[in-house]
Amino acid sequence: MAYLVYFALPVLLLCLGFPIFLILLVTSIVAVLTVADVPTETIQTYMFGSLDNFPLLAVPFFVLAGEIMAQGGIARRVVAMVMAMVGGVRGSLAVTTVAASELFGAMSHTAIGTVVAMGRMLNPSLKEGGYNERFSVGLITSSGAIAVVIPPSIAMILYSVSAEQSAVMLFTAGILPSLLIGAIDAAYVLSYARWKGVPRSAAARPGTIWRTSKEAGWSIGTIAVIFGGIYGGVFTPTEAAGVAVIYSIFVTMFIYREVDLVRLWHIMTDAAFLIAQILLIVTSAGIYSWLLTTSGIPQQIVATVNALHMGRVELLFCLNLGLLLAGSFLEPPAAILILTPLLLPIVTAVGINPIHFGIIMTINLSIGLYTPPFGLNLFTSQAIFQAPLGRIYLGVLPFLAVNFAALLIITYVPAISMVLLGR
Amino acid sequence: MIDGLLKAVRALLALTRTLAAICLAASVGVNFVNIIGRYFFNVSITWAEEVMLFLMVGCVFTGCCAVAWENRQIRMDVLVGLMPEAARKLLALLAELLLLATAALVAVFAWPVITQLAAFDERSAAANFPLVIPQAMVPIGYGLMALVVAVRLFIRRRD
Repeated sequence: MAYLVYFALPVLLLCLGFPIFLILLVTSIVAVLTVADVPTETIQTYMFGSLDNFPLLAVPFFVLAGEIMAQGGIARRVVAMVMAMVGGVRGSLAVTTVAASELFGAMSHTAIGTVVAMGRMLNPSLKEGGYNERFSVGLITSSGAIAVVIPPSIAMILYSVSAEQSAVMLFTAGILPSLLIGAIDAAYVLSYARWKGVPRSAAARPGTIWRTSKEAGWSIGTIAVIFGGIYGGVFTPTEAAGVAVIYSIFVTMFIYREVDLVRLWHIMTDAAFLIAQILLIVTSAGIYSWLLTTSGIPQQIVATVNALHMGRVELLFCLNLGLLLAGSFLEPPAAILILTPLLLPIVTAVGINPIHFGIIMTINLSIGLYTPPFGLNLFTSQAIFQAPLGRIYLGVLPFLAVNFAALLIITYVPAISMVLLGR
Repeated sequence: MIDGLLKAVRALLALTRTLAAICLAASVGVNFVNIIGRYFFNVSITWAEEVMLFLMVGCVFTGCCAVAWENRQIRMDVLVGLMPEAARKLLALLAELLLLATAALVAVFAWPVITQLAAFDERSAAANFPLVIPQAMVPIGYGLMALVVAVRLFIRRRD
Protein backbone atom coordinates (compact mmCIF):
# COMPACT_ATOMS: atom_id res chain seq x y z
CA MET A 1 0.00 0.00 0.00
CA ALA A 2 2.77 2.42 0.97
CA TYR A 3 4.49 1.87 -2.39
CA LEU A 4 1.23 2.64 -4.19
CA VAL A 5 0.86 5.90 -2.29
CA TYR A 6 4.49 7.05 -2.44
CA PHE A 7 5.29 5.94 -6.01
CA ALA A 8 2.31 4.85 -8.12
CA LEU A 9 0.17 7.87 -7.23
CA PRO A 10 2.79 10.57 -7.98
CA VAL A 11 3.94 8.80 -11.16
CA LEU A 12 0.34 8.58 -12.38
CA LEU A 13 -0.34 12.25 -11.64
CA LEU A 14 3.01 13.20 -13.22
CA CYS A 15 2.10 11.42 -16.44
CA LEU A 16 -1.28 13.14 -16.42
CA GLY A 17 0.45 16.53 -16.44
CA PHE A 18 -0.61 17.76 -12.97
CA PRO A 19 1.51 20.53 -11.43
CA ILE A 20 4.47 19.03 -9.55
CA PHE A 21 3.89 20.96 -6.31
CA LEU A 22 0.32 19.63 -6.31
CA ILE A 23 1.43 16.05 -7.00
CA LEU A 24 3.83 16.07 -4.05
CA LEU A 25 1.31 17.70 -1.75
CA VAL A 26 -1.57 15.41 -2.72
CA THR A 27 0.69 12.37 -2.27
CA SER A 28 1.74 13.66 1.16
CA ILE A 29 -1.85 14.31 2.23
CA VAL A 30 -2.97 10.86 1.05
CA ALA A 31 0.02 9.33 2.88
CA VAL A 32 -0.80 11.20 6.11
CA LEU A 33 -4.44 10.14 5.90
CA THR A 34 -3.74 6.49 5.07
CA VAL A 35 -0.30 4.94 5.58
CA ALA A 36 1.75 7.36 7.68
CA ASP A 37 1.17 7.40 11.41
CA VAL A 38 1.56 11.16 11.88
CA PRO A 39 -0.88 13.95 12.81
CA THR A 40 -2.38 16.05 9.99
CA GLU A 41 -0.79 19.21 11.45
CA THR A 42 2.52 17.83 10.17
CA ILE A 43 1.54 19.05 6.70
CA GLN A 44 1.53 22.70 7.82
CA THR A 45 4.63 22.32 10.00
CA TYR A 46 6.77 20.81 7.24
CA MET A 47 5.46 23.01 4.44
CA PHE A 48 6.47 26.09 6.41
CA GLY A 49 9.60 24.46 7.78
CA SER A 50 10.93 23.54 4.36
CA LEU A 51 11.09 27.25 3.42
CA ASP A 52 12.42 28.26 6.83
CA ASN A 53 15.94 27.37 5.71
CA PHE A 54 18.65 30.05 5.33
CA PRO A 55 20.72 28.40 2.55
CA LEU A 56 17.56 28.21 0.43
CA LEU A 57 17.41 32.01 0.43
CA ALA A 58 20.22 31.92 -2.17
CA VAL A 59 17.68 30.65 -4.74
CA PRO A 60 15.51 33.81 -4.90
CA PHE A 61 18.61 36.01 -4.88
CA PHE A 62 20.28 34.10 -7.72
CA VAL A 63 17.03 34.04 -9.71
CA LEU A 64 16.74 37.82 -9.33
CA ALA A 65 20.41 38.44 -10.20
CA GLY A 66 19.99 36.24 -13.27
CA GLU A 67 16.90 38.14 -14.40
CA ILE A 68 18.66 41.50 -14.02
CA MET A 69 21.67 40.27 -16.01
CA ALA A 70 19.57 38.67 -18.72
CA GLN A 71 17.67 41.89 -19.28
CA GLY A 72 20.49 44.35 -18.65
CA GLY A 73 22.74 43.89 -21.71
CA ILE A 74 25.29 41.70 -19.96
CA ALA A 75 25.07 38.72 -22.36
CA ARG A 76 25.86 40.94 -25.37
CA ARG A 77 29.04 42.27 -23.80
CA VAL A 78 30.23 38.84 -22.69
CA VAL A 79 29.78 37.49 -26.25
CA ALA A 80 31.65 40.47 -27.76
CA MET A 81 34.57 39.95 -25.39
CA VAL A 82 34.90 36.19 -25.96
CA MET A 83 34.54 36.68 -29.73
CA ALA A 84 37.32 39.28 -29.74
CA MET A 85 39.60 36.99 -27.75
CA VAL A 86 39.28 33.84 -29.87
CA GLY A 87 39.02 35.53 -33.28
CA GLY A 88 41.38 34.25 -35.99
CA VAL A 89 41.12 30.62 -34.89
CA ARG A 90 39.26 28.18 -37.18
CA GLY A 91 36.04 27.42 -35.28
CA SER A 92 36.32 30.55 -33.15
CA LEU A 93 32.60 31.35 -33.38
CA ALA A 94 31.64 27.89 -32.15
CA VAL A 95 34.19 28.12 -29.33
CA THR A 96 32.77 31.56 -28.51
CA THR A 97 29.33 29.95 -28.12
CA VAL A 98 30.70 27.35 -25.69
CA ALA A 99 32.77 29.83 -23.66
CA ALA A 100 30.11 32.56 -23.60
CA SER A 101 27.48 30.01 -22.50
CA GLU A 102 29.76 28.95 -19.61
CA LEU A 103 30.35 32.56 -18.57
CA PHE A 104 26.75 33.65 -18.95
CA GLY A 105 25.54 30.43 -17.28
CA ALA A 106 27.75 31.19 -14.27
CA MET A 107 26.14 34.61 -14.01
CA SER A 108 22.51 33.94 -14.94
CA HIS A 109 22.08 30.39 -13.51
CA THR A 110 19.37 29.56 -16.07
CA ALA A 111 19.73 27.08 -18.93
CA ILE A 112 16.78 28.38 -20.90
CA GLY A 113 17.90 31.98 -20.41
CA THR A 114 21.36 31.07 -21.68
CA VAL A 115 19.96 29.29 -24.77
CA VAL A 116 17.75 32.27 -25.57
CA ALA A 117 20.47 34.89 -24.98
CA MET A 118 23.23 33.02 -26.86
CA GLY A 119 20.87 31.78 -29.57
CA ARG A 120 19.54 35.19 -30.49
CA MET A 121 23.01 36.73 -30.58
CA LEU A 122 25.15 33.98 -32.03
CA ASN A 123 22.92 31.94 -34.34
CA PRO A 124 22.95 34.53 -37.19
CA SER A 125 26.76 34.89 -36.91
CA LEU A 126 27.21 31.10 -36.89
CA LYS A 127 25.18 30.82 -40.09
CA GLU A 128 27.16 33.62 -41.76
CA GLY A 129 30.38 32.03 -40.52
CA GLY A 130 29.80 28.88 -42.58
CA TYR A 131 28.26 26.52 -40.02
CA ASN A 132 25.20 24.58 -41.13
CA GLU A 133 21.96 25.14 -39.25
CA ARG A 134 21.85 21.66 -37.77
CA PHE A 135 25.25 22.14 -36.12
CA SER A 136 24.54 25.71 -34.91
CA VAL A 137 21.21 24.85 -33.35
CA GLY A 138 22.64 21.70 -31.73
CA LEU A 139 25.58 23.68 -30.37
CA ILE A 140 23.46 26.45 -28.83
CA THR A 141 20.84 24.05 -27.44
CA SER A 142 23.43 21.89 -25.68
CA SER A 143 25.83 24.65 -24.56
CA GLY A 144 23.06 26.52 -22.73
CA ALA A 145 22.49 23.55 -20.43
CA ILE A 146 25.88 24.14 -18.77
CA ALA A 147 24.15 26.79 -16.60
CA VAL A 148 22.71 23.93 -14.53
CA VAL A 149 26.19 22.63 -13.71
CA ILE A 150 28.50 25.62 -13.56
CA PRO A 151 28.65 27.02 -10.03
CA PRO A 152 27.00 28.78 -8.35
CA SER A 153 24.01 26.87 -9.69
CA ILE A 154 20.44 26.88 -8.38
CA ALA A 155 20.30 23.10 -8.95
CA MET A 156 23.28 22.66 -6.61
CA ILE A 157 21.68 24.83 -3.93
CA LEU A 158 18.50 22.76 -4.09
CA TYR A 159 20.53 19.55 -3.95
CA SER A 160 22.49 20.89 -0.97
CA VAL A 161 19.23 21.63 0.87
CA SER A 162 17.63 18.32 -0.08
CA ALA A 163 20.73 16.19 0.67
CA GLU A 164 21.81 18.31 3.67
CA GLN A 165 25.23 18.97 2.15
CA SER A 166 27.33 22.12 2.06
CA ALA A 167 26.51 24.38 -0.91
CA VAL A 168 30.06 25.77 -0.87
CA MET A 169 31.50 22.25 -1.16
CA LEU A 170 29.16 21.51 -4.07
CA PHE A 171 30.17 24.75 -5.82
CA THR A 172 33.84 23.87 -5.34
CA ALA A 173 33.30 20.32 -6.55
CA GLY A 174 31.47 21.62 -9.63
CA ILE A 175 34.27 23.88 -10.89
CA LEU A 176 36.50 21.30 -12.61
CA PRO A 177 33.66 19.17 -14.06
CA SER A 178 32.02 22.21 -15.66
CA LEU A 179 35.37 23.37 -17.08
CA LEU A 180 36.03 19.84 -18.35
CA ILE A 181 32.65 19.75 -20.12
CA GLY A 182 33.43 23.13 -21.70
CA ALA A 183 36.90 21.95 -22.77
CA ILE A 184 35.54 18.71 -24.31
CA ASP A 185 32.81 20.65 -26.14
CA ALA A 186 35.39 23.17 -27.37
CA ALA A 187 37.68 20.37 -28.59
CA TYR A 188 34.77 18.79 -30.46
CA VAL A 189 33.67 22.03 -32.17
CA LEU A 190 37.26 22.87 -33.15
CA SER A 191 37.68 19.42 -34.74
CA TYR A 192 34.34 19.85 -36.48
CA ALA A 193 35.38 23.25 -37.88
CA ARG A 194 38.69 21.82 -39.12
CA TRP A 195 36.95 18.76 -40.62
CA LYS A 196 34.32 20.86 -42.39
CA GLY A 197 36.81 23.53 -43.45
CA VAL A 198 34.88 26.36 -41.81
CA PRO A 199 36.56 29.68 -42.85
CA ARG A 200 38.69 31.49 -40.28
CA SER A 201 37.22 34.70 -38.86
CA ALA A 202 39.24 37.90 -38.67
CA ALA A 203 42.19 37.80 -36.27
CA ALA A 204 41.65 39.56 -32.98
CA ARG A 205 43.10 43.07 -32.65
CA PRO A 206 44.58 44.06 -29.29
CA GLY A 207 42.53 47.28 -29.35
CA THR A 208 39.25 45.37 -29.79
CA ILE A 209 40.18 42.87 -27.10
CA TRP A 210 40.97 45.71 -24.69
CA ARG A 211 37.77 47.65 -25.48
CA THR A 212 35.42 44.63 -25.24
CA SER A 213 37.17 43.31 -22.12
CA LYS A 214 36.86 46.69 -20.47
CA GLU A 215 33.14 46.79 -21.21
CA ALA A 216 32.49 43.18 -20.24
CA GLY A 217 34.78 43.44 -17.21
CA TRP A 218 31.94 44.82 -15.13
CA SER A 219 29.80 41.82 -16.10
CA ILE A 220 32.52 39.28 -15.40
CA GLY A 221 33.02 41.06 -12.07
CA THR A 222 29.83 39.29 -10.88
CA ILE A 223 31.69 35.99 -10.91
CA ALA A 224 34.59 37.56 -9.01
CA VAL A 225 32.20 39.04 -6.44
CA ILE A 226 30.42 35.71 -5.89
CA PHE A 227 33.46 33.42 -5.81
CA GLY A 228 35.78 35.93 -4.18
CA GLY A 229 33.19 36.56 -1.48
CA ILE A 230 32.46 32.89 -0.81
CA TYR A 231 36.00 31.51 -0.98
CA GLY A 232 37.51 34.56 0.68
CA GLY A 233 35.30 33.76 3.67
CA VAL A 234 33.60 37.17 3.39
CA PHE A 235 30.08 35.92 2.60
CA THR A 236 28.02 32.79 2.90
CA PRO A 237 26.59 31.60 -0.48
CA THR A 238 23.26 33.18 0.46
CA GLU A 239 24.88 36.53 1.23
CA ALA A 240 26.97 36.29 -1.94
CA ALA A 241 23.79 35.77 -3.96
CA GLY A 242 22.30 38.90 -2.34
CA VAL A 243 25.46 40.89 -3.09
CA ALA A 244 25.30 39.62 -6.71
CA VAL A 245 21.84 41.21 -6.94
CA ILE A 246 23.10 44.58 -5.68
CA TYR A 247 26.15 44.36 -7.95
CA SER A 248 24.07 43.52 -11.04
CA ILE A 249 21.69 46.39 -10.26
CA PHE A 250 24.68 48.73 -9.97
CA VAL A 251 26.24 47.54 -13.26
CA THR A 252 23.06 47.52 -15.36
CA MET A 253 21.65 50.79 -13.95
CA PHE A 254 24.70 52.96 -13.43
CA ILE A 255 27.45 51.57 -15.67
CA TYR A 256 25.58 50.23 -18.72
CA ARG A 257 22.47 52.36 -18.13
CA GLU A 258 20.24 49.75 -19.76
CA VAL A 259 17.89 49.32 -16.79
CA ASP A 260 15.89 52.15 -15.23
CA LEU A 261 13.75 52.07 -12.08
CA VAL A 262 10.55 51.12 -13.95
CA ARG A 263 12.30 48.25 -15.72
CA LEU A 264 13.90 47.15 -12.46
CA TRP A 265 10.45 46.95 -10.90
CA HIS A 266 9.22 44.77 -13.78
CA ILE A 267 12.29 42.56 -13.39
CA MET A 268 11.47 42.22 -9.65
CA THR A 269 7.89 41.13 -10.36
CA ASP A 270 9.06 38.70 -13.07
CA ALA A 271 11.63 37.24 -10.68
CA ALA A 272 9.04 36.91 -7.88
CA PHE A 273 6.90 34.92 -10.31
CA LEU A 274 9.79 32.55 -11.14
CA ILE A 275 10.68 32.19 -7.46
CA ALA A 276 7.09 31.24 -6.58
CA GLN A 277 7.12 28.64 -9.40
CA ILE A 278 10.27 26.97 -8.02
CA LEU A 279 9.86 27.34 -4.27
CA LEU A 280 6.24 26.21 -4.29
CA ILE A 281 7.65 22.80 -5.21
CA VAL A 282 10.15 23.07 -2.35
CA THR A 283 7.31 23.50 0.17
CA SER A 284 5.58 20.32 -1.03
CA ALA A 285 8.82 18.41 -1.53
CA GLY A 286 9.73 19.11 2.11
CA ILE A 287 6.79 17.16 3.50
CA TYR A 288 6.98 14.43 0.82
CA SER A 289 10.67 13.92 1.46
CA TRP A 290 10.18 13.70 5.24
CA LEU A 291 7.30 11.24 4.94
CA LEU A 292 9.25 9.11 2.46
CA THR A 293 12.32 9.05 4.69
CA THR A 294 10.36 8.10 7.80
CA SER A 295 8.35 5.45 5.90
CA GLY A 296 11.37 3.16 5.72
CA ILE A 297 10.95 2.75 1.95
CA PRO A 298 14.40 4.14 1.04
CA GLN A 299 15.98 1.59 3.41
CA GLN A 300 13.99 -1.22 1.74
CA ILE A 301 15.14 -0.03 -1.69
CA VAL A 302 18.74 0.06 -0.46
CA ALA A 303 18.34 -3.54 0.76
CA THR A 304 16.87 -4.57 -2.62
CA VAL A 305 19.71 -2.90 -4.52
CA ASN A 306 22.24 -4.56 -2.22
CA ALA A 307 20.60 -7.93 -2.91
CA LEU A 308 21.25 -7.40 -6.62
CA HIS A 309 24.98 -7.36 -5.82
CA MET A 310 25.59 -4.48 -8.18
CA GLY A 311 29.02 -2.93 -8.00
CA ARG A 312 29.56 0.83 -7.97
CA VAL A 313 30.30 0.83 -11.70
CA GLU A 314 27.04 -0.87 -12.70
CA LEU A 315 25.00 1.08 -10.16
CA LEU A 316 26.35 4.43 -11.33
CA PHE A 317 25.78 3.48 -14.97
CA CYS A 318 22.15 2.55 -14.23
CA LEU A 319 21.66 5.74 -12.21
CA ASN A 320 23.13 7.81 -15.04
CA LEU A 321 20.68 6.32 -17.53
CA GLY A 322 17.76 6.77 -15.13
CA LEU A 323 18.71 10.37 -14.34
CA LEU A 324 19.16 11.21 -18.03
CA LEU A 325 15.68 9.89 -18.68
CA ALA A 326 14.26 11.80 -15.69
CA GLY A 327 16.09 14.95 -16.84
CA SER A 328 14.52 14.74 -20.27
CA PHE A 329 11.05 14.80 -18.68
CA LEU A 330 11.50 16.97 -15.61
CA GLU A 331 13.10 20.37 -15.01
CA PRO A 332 16.24 20.10 -12.84
CA PRO A 333 14.74 21.70 -9.67
CA ALA A 334 11.75 19.34 -9.71
CA ALA A 335 13.87 16.28 -10.50
CA ILE A 336 16.33 17.09 -7.70
CA LEU A 337 13.64 17.65 -5.09
CA ILE A 338 11.79 14.46 -6.01
CA LEU A 339 14.72 12.10 -6.58
CA THR A 340 17.36 13.11 -4.03
CA PRO A 341 15.65 11.64 -0.95
CA LEU A 342 15.14 8.42 -2.88
CA LEU A 343 18.55 8.01 -4.51
CA LEU A 344 20.88 9.37 -1.86
CA PRO A 345 20.50 6.42 0.57
CA ILE A 346 21.21 4.02 -2.34
CA VAL A 347 24.43 5.71 -3.40
CA THR A 348 25.74 6.39 0.09
CA ALA A 349 25.13 2.72 0.94
CA VAL A 350 27.71 1.72 -1.68
CA GLY A 351 30.17 4.36 -0.50
CA ILE A 352 29.65 7.09 -3.10
CA ASN A 353 30.32 10.54 -1.70
CA PRO A 354 27.09 12.64 -1.58
CA ILE A 355 28.95 15.67 -2.99
CA HIS A 356 30.24 13.64 -5.95
CA PHE A 357 26.75 12.26 -6.50
CA GLY A 358 25.36 15.83 -6.45
CA ILE A 359 27.70 16.71 -9.32
CA ILE A 360 26.75 13.55 -11.24
CA MET A 361 23.09 14.34 -10.72
CA THR A 362 23.29 17.96 -11.91
CA ILE A 363 25.32 16.97 -15.01
CA ASN A 364 22.78 14.27 -15.88
CA LEU A 365 19.89 16.68 -15.48
CA SER A 366 21.68 19.30 -17.59
CA ILE A 367 22.20 16.74 -20.40
CA GLY A 368 18.57 15.67 -19.96
CA LEU A 369 17.57 19.22 -20.89
CA TYR A 370 18.59 18.55 -24.51
CA THR A 371 17.97 14.80 -24.67
CA PRO A 372 15.40 13.99 -27.39
CA PRO A 373 12.53 13.71 -27.59
CA PHE A 374 11.37 15.79 -24.63
CA GLY A 375 14.28 17.87 -23.23
CA LEU A 376 13.12 21.37 -22.39
CA ASN A 377 15.94 23.17 -24.24
CA LEU A 378 14.87 21.45 -27.48
CA PHE A 379 11.51 23.18 -27.36
CA THR A 380 13.12 26.48 -26.37
CA SER A 381 15.34 26.23 -29.45
CA GLN A 382 12.38 25.33 -31.62
CA ALA A 383 10.63 28.48 -30.41
CA ILE A 384 13.56 30.85 -30.99
CA PHE A 385 15.03 29.35 -34.18
CA GLN A 386 11.74 28.28 -35.80
CA ALA A 387 13.58 25.11 -36.87
CA PRO A 388 11.88 21.71 -37.29
CA LEU A 389 12.26 19.51 -34.19
CA GLY A 390 13.75 16.70 -36.29
CA ARG A 391 16.63 18.96 -37.35
CA ILE A 392 17.21 20.05 -33.74
CA TYR A 393 17.24 16.38 -32.62
CA LEU A 394 19.87 15.54 -35.24
CA GLY A 395 21.84 18.66 -34.30
CA VAL A 396 22.11 17.78 -30.61
CA LEU A 397 23.00 14.11 -31.12
CA PRO A 398 26.80 14.63 -31.51
CA PHE A 399 26.78 16.94 -28.47
CA LEU A 400 24.79 14.36 -26.54
CA ALA A 401 27.43 11.74 -27.32
CA VAL A 402 30.32 14.08 -26.44
CA ASN A 403 28.72 15.21 -23.17
CA PHE A 404 27.72 11.68 -22.22
CA ALA A 405 31.38 10.75 -22.58
CA ALA A 406 32.27 13.71 -20.32
CA LEU A 407 29.62 12.53 -17.84
CA LEU A 408 31.11 9.03 -17.72
CA ILE A 409 34.60 10.46 -17.11
CA ILE A 410 33.29 12.64 -14.28
CA THR A 411 31.25 9.74 -12.87
CA TYR A 412 34.09 7.23 -12.82
CA VAL A 413 36.91 9.62 -11.91
CA PRO A 414 35.61 11.13 -8.64
CA ALA A 415 38.90 13.01 -8.23
CA ILE A 416 37.75 15.51 -10.89
CA SER A 417 34.99 16.62 -8.54
CA MET A 418 36.71 15.99 -5.23
CA VAL A 419 40.29 17.16 -5.79
CA LEU A 420 39.55 20.83 -5.04
CA LEU A 421 37.96 19.71 -1.77
CA GLY A 422 41.25 18.04 -0.84
CA ARG A 423 39.76 14.50 -0.99
CA MET B 1 -20.73 39.88 -13.70
CA ILE B 2 -17.86 38.26 -15.59
CA ASP B 3 -16.31 41.67 -16.20
CA GLY B 4 -16.61 42.50 -12.51
CA LEU B 5 -14.99 39.20 -11.53
CA LEU B 6 -12.16 39.70 -14.01
CA LYS B 7 -11.61 43.21 -12.70
CA ALA B 8 -11.46 41.92 -9.12
CA VAL B 9 -9.00 39.16 -10.07
CA ARG B 10 -6.77 41.62 -11.94
CA ALA B 11 -6.76 43.90 -8.88
CA LEU B 12 -5.91 40.93 -6.66
CA LEU B 13 -3.11 39.85 -9.01
CA ALA B 14 -1.69 43.38 -9.14
CA LEU B 15 -1.72 43.49 -5.34
CA THR B 16 -0.15 40.06 -4.83
CA ARG B 17 2.50 40.63 -7.52
CA THR B 18 3.37 43.95 -5.86
CA LEU B 19 3.56 42.35 -2.42
CA ALA B 20 5.75 39.52 -3.74
CA ALA B 21 8.14 41.98 -5.40
CA ILE B 22 8.24 44.14 -2.23
CA CYS B 23 9.09 41.06 -0.12
CA LEU B 24 11.87 40.18 -2.56
CA ALA B 25 13.27 43.71 -2.69
CA ALA B 26 13.09 44.03 1.10
CA SER B 27 15.00 40.79 1.66
CA VAL B 28 17.73 41.95 -0.76
CA GLY B 29 17.88 45.24 1.17
CA VAL B 30 18.06 43.57 4.60
CA ASN B 31 20.80 41.21 3.37
CA PHE B 32 22.86 44.09 1.98
CA VAL B 33 22.47 46.32 5.03
CA ASN B 34 23.44 43.40 7.27
CA ILE B 35 26.64 42.75 5.29
CA ILE B 36 27.58 46.44 5.22
CA GLY B 37 26.91 46.72 8.96
CA ARG B 38 28.95 43.65 9.77
CA TYR B 39 32.01 44.42 7.65
CA PHE B 40 32.19 48.18 7.82
CA PHE B 41 30.68 49.06 11.20
CA ASN B 42 31.13 45.80 13.09
CA VAL B 43 27.41 45.72 13.83
CA SER B 44 25.21 42.89 12.60
CA ILE B 45 21.44 42.79 12.58
CA THR B 46 20.49 39.88 14.80
CA TRP B 47 17.01 39.56 13.31
CA ALA B 48 18.14 39.77 9.67
CA GLU B 49 18.12 36.03 8.95
CA GLU B 50 14.66 35.46 10.42
CA VAL B 51 13.13 38.44 8.67
CA MET B 52 14.65 37.47 5.30
CA LEU B 53 13.18 33.98 5.64
CA PHE B 54 9.75 35.36 6.52
CA LEU B 55 9.99 37.69 3.52
CA MET B 56 10.83 34.70 1.30
CA VAL B 57 7.76 32.89 2.63
CA GLY B 58 5.73 36.04 1.86
CA CYS B 59 7.18 36.27 -1.65
CA VAL B 60 6.35 32.64 -2.47
CA PHE B 61 2.83 32.56 -1.08
CA THR B 62 1.77 35.89 -2.59
CA GLY B 63 3.58 35.24 -5.88
CA CYS B 64 1.89 31.85 -6.32
CA CYS B 65 -1.46 33.56 -6.96
CA ALA B 66 -0.26 34.87 -10.36
CA VAL B 67 1.36 31.52 -11.16
CA ALA B 68 -1.98 29.75 -10.58
CA TRP B 69 -3.97 32.33 -12.59
CA GLU B 70 -1.61 32.04 -15.58
CA ASN B 71 -1.55 28.24 -15.11
CA ARG B 72 2.26 28.29 -15.30
CA GLN B 73 3.08 25.83 -12.51
CA ILE B 74 6.05 23.60 -13.32
CA ARG B 75 4.75 20.29 -14.66
CA MET B 76 5.67 17.46 -16.98
CA ASP B 77 3.23 18.02 -19.82
CA VAL B 78 4.96 16.06 -22.58
CA LEU B 79 2.66 13.03 -22.48
CA VAL B 80 -0.45 15.17 -22.06
CA GLY B 81 0.61 17.10 -25.16
CA LEU B 82 0.26 13.88 -27.15
CA MET B 83 -3.35 13.35 -25.99
CA PRO B 84 -6.47 14.52 -27.83
CA GLU B 85 -7.86 17.98 -27.03
CA ALA B 86 -10.84 16.62 -25.07
CA ALA B 87 -8.63 14.51 -22.80
CA ARG B 88 -6.31 17.49 -22.19
CA LYS B 89 -9.27 19.66 -21.18
CA LEU B 90 -10.60 16.98 -18.86
CA LEU B 91 -7.22 16.56 -17.17
CA ALA B 92 -6.83 20.32 -16.80
CA LEU B 93 -10.26 20.44 -15.13
CA LEU B 94 -9.31 17.56 -12.81
CA ALA B 95 -6.07 19.32 -11.84
CA GLU B 96 -8.01 22.48 -11.02
CA LEU B 97 -10.58 20.60 -8.93
CA LEU B 98 -7.78 18.78 -7.14
CA LEU B 99 -6.14 22.11 -6.33
CA LEU B 100 -9.41 23.40 -4.84
CA ALA B 101 -9.77 20.29 -2.68
CA THR B 102 -6.11 20.40 -1.64
CA ALA B 103 -6.30 24.08 -0.69
CA ALA B 104 -9.31 23.33 1.52
CA LEU B 105 -7.43 20.47 3.23
CA VAL B 106 -4.31 22.62 3.71
CA ALA B 107 -6.50 25.23 5.47
CA VAL B 108 -8.15 22.56 7.67
CA PHE B 109 -4.79 21.02 8.63
CA ALA B 110 -3.20 24.41 9.25
CA TRP B 111 -6.03 25.73 11.42
CA PRO B 112 -5.01 24.09 14.75
CA VAL B 113 -1.38 25.21 14.27
CA ILE B 114 -2.36 28.78 13.40
CA THR B 115 -4.89 29.15 16.23
CA GLN B 116 -2.38 27.77 18.73
CA LEU B 117 0.33 30.17 17.58
CA ALA B 118 -2.14 33.06 17.88
CA ALA B 119 -3.51 31.95 21.25
CA PHE B 120 -0.06 31.67 22.84
CA ASP B 121 1.28 34.71 20.96
CA GLU B 122 4.34 32.71 19.93
CA ARG B 123 7.14 34.85 18.56
CA SER B 124 10.35 34.27 16.64
CA ALA B 125 13.53 34.07 18.72
CA ALA B 126 15.51 37.00 17.29
CA ALA B 127 13.01 39.38 15.67
CA ASN B 128 10.27 38.83 18.27
CA PHE B 129 7.92 38.66 15.28
CA PRO B 130 4.49 36.99 15.76
CA LEU B 131 4.94 33.55 14.16
CA VAL B 132 1.28 33.35 13.28
CA ILE B 133 1.82 35.79 10.38
CA PRO B 134 4.44 33.86 8.34
CA GLN B 135 2.85 30.51 9.23
CA ALA B 136 -0.56 31.75 8.09
CA MET B 137 0.94 32.63 4.70
CA VAL B 138 0.85 28.92 3.75
CA PRO B 139 -2.97 28.50 3.90
CA ILE B 140 -3.42 32.08 2.65
CA GLY B 141 -1.29 31.32 -0.42
CA TYR B 142 -3.23 28.16 -1.15
CA GLY B 143 -6.48 30.01 -0.53
CA LEU B 144 -5.49 32.69 -3.05
CA MET B 145 -4.57 30.06 -5.63
CA ALA B 146 -7.88 28.27 -5.06
CA LEU B 147 -9.77 31.55 -5.36
CA VAL B 148 -8.32 32.53 -8.75
CA VAL B 149 -8.67 28.98 -10.08
CA ALA B 150 -12.32 28.93 -8.94
CA VAL B 151 -12.93 32.22 -10.75
CA ARG B 152 -11.28 30.84 -13.88
CA LEU B 153 -13.45 27.72 -13.71
CA PHE B 154 -16.58 29.83 -13.24
CA ILE B 155 -15.75 32.11 -16.16
CA ARG B 156 -14.95 29.16 -18.41
CA ARG B 157 -18.25 27.49 -17.46
CA ARG B 158 -20.21 30.69 -18.26
CA ASP B 159 -18.41 31.02 -21.60
